[in-house]
Amino acid sequence: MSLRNLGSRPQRTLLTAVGIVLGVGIVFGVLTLSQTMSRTFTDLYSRAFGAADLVVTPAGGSGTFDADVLKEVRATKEVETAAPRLPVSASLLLPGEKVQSPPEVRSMQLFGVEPKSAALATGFELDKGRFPESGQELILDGSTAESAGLRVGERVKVATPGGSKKLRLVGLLRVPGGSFGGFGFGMAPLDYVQKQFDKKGKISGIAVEATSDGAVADLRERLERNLGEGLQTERSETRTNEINSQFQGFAIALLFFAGTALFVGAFLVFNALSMTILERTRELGMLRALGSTRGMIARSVIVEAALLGLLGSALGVIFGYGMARGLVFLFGQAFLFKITKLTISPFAIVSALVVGVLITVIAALYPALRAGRVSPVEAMRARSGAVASSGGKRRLPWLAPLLGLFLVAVGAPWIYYLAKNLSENLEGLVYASGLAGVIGTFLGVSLIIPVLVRPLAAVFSPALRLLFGIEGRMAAANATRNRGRTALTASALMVGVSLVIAFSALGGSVLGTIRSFLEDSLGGDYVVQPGETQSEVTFSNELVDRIGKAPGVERTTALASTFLNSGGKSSLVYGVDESYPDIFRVNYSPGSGTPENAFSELRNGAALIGQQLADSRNLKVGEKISLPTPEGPKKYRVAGVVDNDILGGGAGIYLSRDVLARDFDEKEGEFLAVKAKPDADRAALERDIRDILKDYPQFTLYSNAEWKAQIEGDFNRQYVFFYAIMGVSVAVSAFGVVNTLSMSVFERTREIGILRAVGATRLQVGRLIIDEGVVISLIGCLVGVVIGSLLGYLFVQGSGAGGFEVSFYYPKVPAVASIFAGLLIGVFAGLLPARSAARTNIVEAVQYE
Amino acid sequence: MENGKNAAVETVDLRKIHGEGSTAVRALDGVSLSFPAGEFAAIMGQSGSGKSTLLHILGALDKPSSGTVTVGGTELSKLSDRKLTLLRRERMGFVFQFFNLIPTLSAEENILLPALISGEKVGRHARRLDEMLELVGLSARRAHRPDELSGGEQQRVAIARALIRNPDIVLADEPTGNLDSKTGSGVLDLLKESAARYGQTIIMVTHDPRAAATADRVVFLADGRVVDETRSPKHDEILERIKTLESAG
Repeated sequence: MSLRNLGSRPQRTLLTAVGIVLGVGIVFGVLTLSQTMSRTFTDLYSRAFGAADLVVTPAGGSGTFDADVLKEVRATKEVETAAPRLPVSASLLLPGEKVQSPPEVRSMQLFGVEPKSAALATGFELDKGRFPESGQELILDGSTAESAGLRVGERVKVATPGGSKKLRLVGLLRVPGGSFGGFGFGMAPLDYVQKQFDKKGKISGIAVEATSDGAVADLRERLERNLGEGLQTERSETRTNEINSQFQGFAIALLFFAGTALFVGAFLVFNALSMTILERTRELGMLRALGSTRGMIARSVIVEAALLGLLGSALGVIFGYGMARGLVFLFGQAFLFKITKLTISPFAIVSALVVGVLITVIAALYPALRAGRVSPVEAMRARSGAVASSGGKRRLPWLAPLLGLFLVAVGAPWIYYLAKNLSENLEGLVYASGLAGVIGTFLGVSLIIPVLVRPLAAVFSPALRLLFGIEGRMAAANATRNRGRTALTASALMVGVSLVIAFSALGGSVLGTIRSFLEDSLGGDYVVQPGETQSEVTFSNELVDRIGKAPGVERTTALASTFLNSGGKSSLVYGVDESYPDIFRVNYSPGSGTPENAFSELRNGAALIGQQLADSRNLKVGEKISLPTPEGPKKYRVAGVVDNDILGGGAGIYLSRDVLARDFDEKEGEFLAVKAKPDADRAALERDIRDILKDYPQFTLYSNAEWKAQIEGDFNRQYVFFYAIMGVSVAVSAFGVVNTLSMSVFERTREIGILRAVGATRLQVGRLIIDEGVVISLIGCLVGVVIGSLLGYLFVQGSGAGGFEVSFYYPKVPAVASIFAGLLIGVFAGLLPARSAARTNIVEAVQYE
Repeated sequence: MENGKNAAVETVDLRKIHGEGSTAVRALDGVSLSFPAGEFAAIMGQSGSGKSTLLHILGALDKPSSGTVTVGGTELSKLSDRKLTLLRRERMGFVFQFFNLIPTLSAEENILLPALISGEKVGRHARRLDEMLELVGLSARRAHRPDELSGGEQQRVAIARALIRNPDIVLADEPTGNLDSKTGSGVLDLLKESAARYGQTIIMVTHDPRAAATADRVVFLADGRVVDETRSPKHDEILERIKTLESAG
């Protein structure tokens, strides 16, 4: 019978199923997305860095160490083979479309490898040809070679810090996952890479194969002990797992959105089933009269829901697959990283199905119980939809809002507290508790919204009355008739909208802060940067010297950096030269006791640190900070605390470039700022610099304005990805509005009939419904904007914890857009229900009770 | 059948068929009637006789399968839905069995609903509203919502709503059906008084002989046909005729 019930009301079934399909679809889509990404990256990472049993790297995670270590490793007992490697960022230079046009630049990771151990150095397999053996030979991954139109035996240009070199392609590598978004991989002989990238006698990793599987653990310990503190020996999987765990946070955030969508889906089911029960009251009463027990009726409703849930979830998985495809595409667009193959795991399918059916059944519980409670007499009498206001008086009406206030009162300060204090490394429980704070706040607000429905509707009422006459006023009143339902519908929208606003606030504030930093603190006029955003290519001092000597250049400053990992904390170490403070304004933290001449101390091996780092490690001027260099930990005296550490986000460490080169072997610059002489001919200067850059085509000259635009462009592109996900959850909420309005139309059939009888046109009754939709969605969007602003403020506080403050920029445009979207959602959600209201058969509506 | 020249409502060979083929039901089977302006007419018949269908078609709420309805000289079958709506708005008033008030609006707003829907200024109807409230005896309860009013009071609000714009025709579908007999007769008096005072044509469908007895004229319907009619009927006379019809049927 349950099955027949579904079949007999295809439209209702469809409407209910839409909720499940969308909810489950989003869950599945998001799971698939996060799994695809983590699989793609870990696959690649494990291929690139970790096919061997063990891998020896600098303890800080990045940087290089002496190639002599290799001999030591090879001499160690139970080492079968040891393969050195030196990965560097390089660029492939392909001929431009025309002879005169600049070359096309493709970023790539180039591994310097020993010819005899090349196969072990990385996990890439040889596809064609052979590994590079001597001098100027190169091997590339197949898809890069193919897309570049390169064949084995041809010569190809590679950009190095010292300029571009020609190498001969001698083979092709197989990279898992096919194309890696245009990002290439290659190998060249180690000594060649060392020479061209200014890393003579250096390597950054050794892949080690033990003589037997059983010996790996022993060997690891032996290497750890023998090689000293500056180096670490890990199992390859350990590194891979670390990469994997970095995706967890991202996945949790995505699942949060999916969760809201699922919540709305459950609400849709609840609404639709309640509607079905009302409609079937008479039929149910008859069944009761014929002797069905309450349990039988409730069970049949639940079975119906379960069938619906299964159907919807199955469709949801299909929809989710499409969504995952879309999201992966967007992800590629946002982060300039194309992924071609989706990872569909049985786990994702099963959990999507289980969650879908469970949610549907849970949402069906209350309607099912209500169906069971239908009394035979009542049912024989009552007409389908004409139901008195639902439920009667609630007991303890103040309990829910009070609980809501409590949740908000606890949740919001908790977020603030976490944001202020623990933003540096949000992990595990802390991260979860922050998320719990957000969820608690949303739940709290959802509980408060029912109380707000009446006053807010009262606020809209005069405006609607003025605009749309009596039907506007009635619409506002209708929205308050089932406050619980209106509040639920609005809450769903509220969550989506407030997330949009909060993220806009965060993004806008970070961007605004960067912008104002560029305007206030960057004293240069030009910036030289890699032309491709994701490229990490570096330049040699030769480039800096040549640009510095160009007529019209007053001074330049070049930055180098390295990334350090110690004790689970990561920090960025910058190498700066003496003219840095002439171009970047450096503000020392007031009260830190930083002396005037702190910057010149860097020459003597001292360090400047960001405010946040100073706070979190409780470091004061004059104390020492220990950093893991490849030769073991080294201590640096803290010469000063930097207040406006935008580069390191408050946690940066500044050394002189010479010290960074000496201790971390990071000689190449990655960022160059140029200050022009006040009377310089700008056009000529730009031409001169561009001429110099012809030898370094991987770099591009930007004016400050262009560079700013570039940063903003990157930023916005990445936000589009998040907006897309949030957009889906808002869209699902919009379906909630459709559903609630359909229910309104259904319940108010008789009223609509009267209105039509006394002379309301179809347009007017349609507008009645649409206006109700507008009231509901405006409530949701308004509250969403308020909560979103609050959350955004808290997030911003968090991102700027400690020394470097991200100033809060209020997201005006998104806020206004959200209100406007509220109007639009209300109108569009109202269209179909309004149509059915307009088509109400007057006679049927009025005649029967 | 007299064809009054000043007929407010007139039907010619009205037919309404529900369904098709062998399951088709002839709700109206050739009804030709004329209601002169100012007449208070009652339509009687057993359930299934087609009396409600007739009322709905007269009120432009439903369309006939064939035949014509003319209201104040306008033939309804030629009108669009919008025109019909405007016609209902401008020229007709409805009173239903189940009071049918809008629960979110006050008594006053419910009475003003037809005017409000037309987008007219409330001020224009202030005097008329007072008059109506007085007529139905609800001046003191004008701000109350329907659920705060008794059944009789609600029906009086519905009558005031039907009369507010002084329509030419008032159509009442079992207006006393859900009321006790005392309240019911009060409501009927109200309708009658209004017809006398404002010269309105009132057409009432009922199966209650006592209600029908207040009318100027009673039309009897059976199986979709007019089978009998009487003028200025007495209660007993109506009962008599019903009996005859039943035995004939």
